[in-house]
Amino acid sequence: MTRLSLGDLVDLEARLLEEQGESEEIRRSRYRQLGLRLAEKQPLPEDPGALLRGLLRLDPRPTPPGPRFESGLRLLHSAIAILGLLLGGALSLALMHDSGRHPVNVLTVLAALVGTQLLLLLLLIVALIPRRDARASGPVQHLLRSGLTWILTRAGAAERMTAIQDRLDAHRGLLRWTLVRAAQVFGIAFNVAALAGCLYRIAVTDIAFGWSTTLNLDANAVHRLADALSGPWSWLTSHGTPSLDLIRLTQYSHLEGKYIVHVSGDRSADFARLGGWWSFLVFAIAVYGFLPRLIAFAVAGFWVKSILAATPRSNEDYARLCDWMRQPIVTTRLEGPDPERLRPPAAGADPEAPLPPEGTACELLDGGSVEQLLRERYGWTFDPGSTSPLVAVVSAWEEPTKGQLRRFASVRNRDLIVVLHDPSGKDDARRANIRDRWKRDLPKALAGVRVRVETL
Amino acid sequence: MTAPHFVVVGRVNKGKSSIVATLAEEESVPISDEPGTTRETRAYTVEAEGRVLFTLIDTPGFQDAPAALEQIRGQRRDASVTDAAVKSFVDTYKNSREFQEETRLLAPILDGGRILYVVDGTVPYSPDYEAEMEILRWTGRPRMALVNRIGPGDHLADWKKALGQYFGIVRDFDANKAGFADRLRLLESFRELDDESRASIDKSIAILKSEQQRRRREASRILSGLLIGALTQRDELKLEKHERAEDRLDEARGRLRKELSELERKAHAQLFALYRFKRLQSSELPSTGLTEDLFAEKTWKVLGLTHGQLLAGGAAVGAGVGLAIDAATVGHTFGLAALIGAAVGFGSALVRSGRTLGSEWRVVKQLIDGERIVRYGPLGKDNLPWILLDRALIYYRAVSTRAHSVQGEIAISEKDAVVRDFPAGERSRGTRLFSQIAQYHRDLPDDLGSELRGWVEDRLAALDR
Repeated sequence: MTRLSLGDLVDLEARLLEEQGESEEIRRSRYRQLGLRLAEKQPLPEDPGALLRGLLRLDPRPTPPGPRFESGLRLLHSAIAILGLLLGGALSLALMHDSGRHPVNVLTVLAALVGTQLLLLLLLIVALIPRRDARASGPVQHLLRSGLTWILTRAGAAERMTAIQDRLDAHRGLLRWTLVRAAQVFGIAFNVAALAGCLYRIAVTDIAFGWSTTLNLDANAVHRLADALSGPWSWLTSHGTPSLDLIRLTQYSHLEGKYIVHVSGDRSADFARLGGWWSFLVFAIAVYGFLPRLIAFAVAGFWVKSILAATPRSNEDYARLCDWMRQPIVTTRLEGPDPERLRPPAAGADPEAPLPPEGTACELLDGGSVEQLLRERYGWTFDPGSTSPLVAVVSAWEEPTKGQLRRFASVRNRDLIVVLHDPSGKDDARRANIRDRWKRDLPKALAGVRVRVETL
Repeated sequence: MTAPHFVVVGRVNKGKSSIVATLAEEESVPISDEPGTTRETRAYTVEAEGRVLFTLIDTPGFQDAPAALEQIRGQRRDASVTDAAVKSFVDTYKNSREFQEETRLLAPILDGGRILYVVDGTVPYSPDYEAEMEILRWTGRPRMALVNRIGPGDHLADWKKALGQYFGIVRDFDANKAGFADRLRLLESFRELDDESRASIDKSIAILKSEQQRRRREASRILSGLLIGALTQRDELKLEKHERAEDRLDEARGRLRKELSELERKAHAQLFALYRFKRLQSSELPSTGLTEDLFAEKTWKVLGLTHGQLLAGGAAVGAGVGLAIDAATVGHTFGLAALIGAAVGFGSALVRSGRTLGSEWRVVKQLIDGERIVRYGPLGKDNLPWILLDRALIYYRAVSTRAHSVQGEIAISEKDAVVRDFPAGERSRGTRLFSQIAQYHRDLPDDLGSELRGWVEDRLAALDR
């Protein structure tokens, strides 16, 4: 299954937008031609993704918005990565700054670099809950969307891009997930910089950690908290979990300006042990800050890719393009000019022959089988040598063809009675029409002869 | 591979043009009850991308076959060379007014056409047809007889017996009632005419089969597009500070109704065009009860689901949600969620059924100066999509089975309504899909659109069966 790139999808959406309002006939013909051109190079792939990709490569637009969208997105990623690096670095350097007057408060570092991140993680999970409106929502996503729009506007594709961005979200929230992924770039950069900042301070300065709080927390409570937080990495190393001793040792009073366990005024009972918090803090940032962002980035990336792979199959507009490319257009063409519609000929002008009265001797033509019936119905007699009216019997369902009319061409100076006979006795609209045409055509074919049409 | 030519011949007014129109799917073929409408031969070429699949040649009818046969017999020099006599007859009379029709219909046969001889099986056979059949036999070209049905009556057996003496293949084919399968069967029998045209006919059959599938797929897109349009339809109005949303309800409802009617009209026109009935697209629709305004009382009475079916559908959807909860609790809720879901679904369907169509609205934006943007719609979630679907399915069935030789209005009636006969499971599925789609105003997710289209296509396939 071929996966389209985000740029491909943007290009496809741009095509669809451009073609809005065009007649389907024209579009179908265009895509079939493209399909045929593609088929000249290689057999048309069954996979719709591959087919659509082939279409885009074969017939690129002069200024395709796809690459611009992709470069805009890359620019957004770079910008927020830089922002994340700067913020993460600055914050960690600031938080881990040991002026020498007071130790670095572990709880402040935890609250800023771990607590905030845990809160953001929770918000991220909420943001990932599937929702009816797949479009980008929430302040972070709005901010990122605005950023992307701003970048794309600078690239000169403003109007189209706004419409395309709306359409992207119809594909199972593609833009929303793209922005979720972008947000993770910021998170990763922020955490990398935070870790780097911390490690830098740890490596190049002798940081003394302490913890202090107005809340009624004793060392045991802080230990339980630290123990719980260090659960994920406690199996890896024992250095990552602060001991109860260390916690007791590093409880600090700002009022006294000294560690609480030492009332003598010494700044440190065991200077080397005061830095013991660093491994716990580094692990905490890595596990609660960096790792979730990395996982979220991977999940968002996977989701974006799966949407890109599924969209050619699940989107009806794309499926229709594939249909058009594959299916030959069947047409019917009339060779030569469209013939004029014929007008029915006008009725003949000769007066209708009167019905011969009973007892009239008539000549019978082709009616041997119905002679008795005619006698009974009309009371005529039949005399082959007579010059009296000629009675001709024809099938009631046969049209007055030239051949039929030619049979009466020799009739002169006598009345002609054409009897339309149907053994079934049916008389429907069709037969009535045929009767009318006999009435119309006979007088025209036999000028000067009085004719009459009867139904038997 | 040369595309075969089929020359459709027969006596006047026996349905030759109808057969051409039906086989070529071309409604522009002049068909008239008036005999002799076809004075000249007309070739209708069925093509796929400019490549000819086959050509159907409509011809004037035999006007005086017995006299023509007499002339042909007179021109016969050698007892074995009958086609030369026919050719000589055509050459002799081609510029004459005499035997004009006969020479015109025989010329394309002598040019290599295959013969499709058309008779009307609803009238009795008579021996005076033998002259026509004899002339055709003399041409020596591959030939097949088609027994058309123009009116009531059945003389098929007599015709088959008589035709069998002159034609190797005799087929019963009612041009005005032939559906796609009948047309395909007839094309398949063309294969038997001669080896030369077999490959070309096979290709045509394959292309037409795939075209038929494409049409059904496309029809399902048109129908699902109409349903999505109806379910996601909204109208936004800016209300002044003193105005209440209810004050503009009638105005919004009127606009939504007008829009929806237009949407439906377009969808029907697309459906007609898909099945190559362009004249139907532009002409008036048939004046039956089914063409009443979408919102007319009668339409709502005869189409869509019944009240009971709508309530059952609502209950089924609710039960489905409840079942999911029961499943999530691994049965710890003892099916209670399903029961509650069914009751809630039933109740909400009941409440909705009592509401006036299109009475939903909500404020979507509160402006600073007290003005508001209010979004009205959709017009209705419950029976409206079913009514739209019902009407569209009726038209689908009418055009997909209609032969192109048939003139005039589409023959449909209230009895053609189908959605009430859907299996209960399909009604529930439809209700669930409609209910999900109605929650969106725009940007319907691909998956939901695709699921609806697939469901509609299944319904179309069931109708086709």
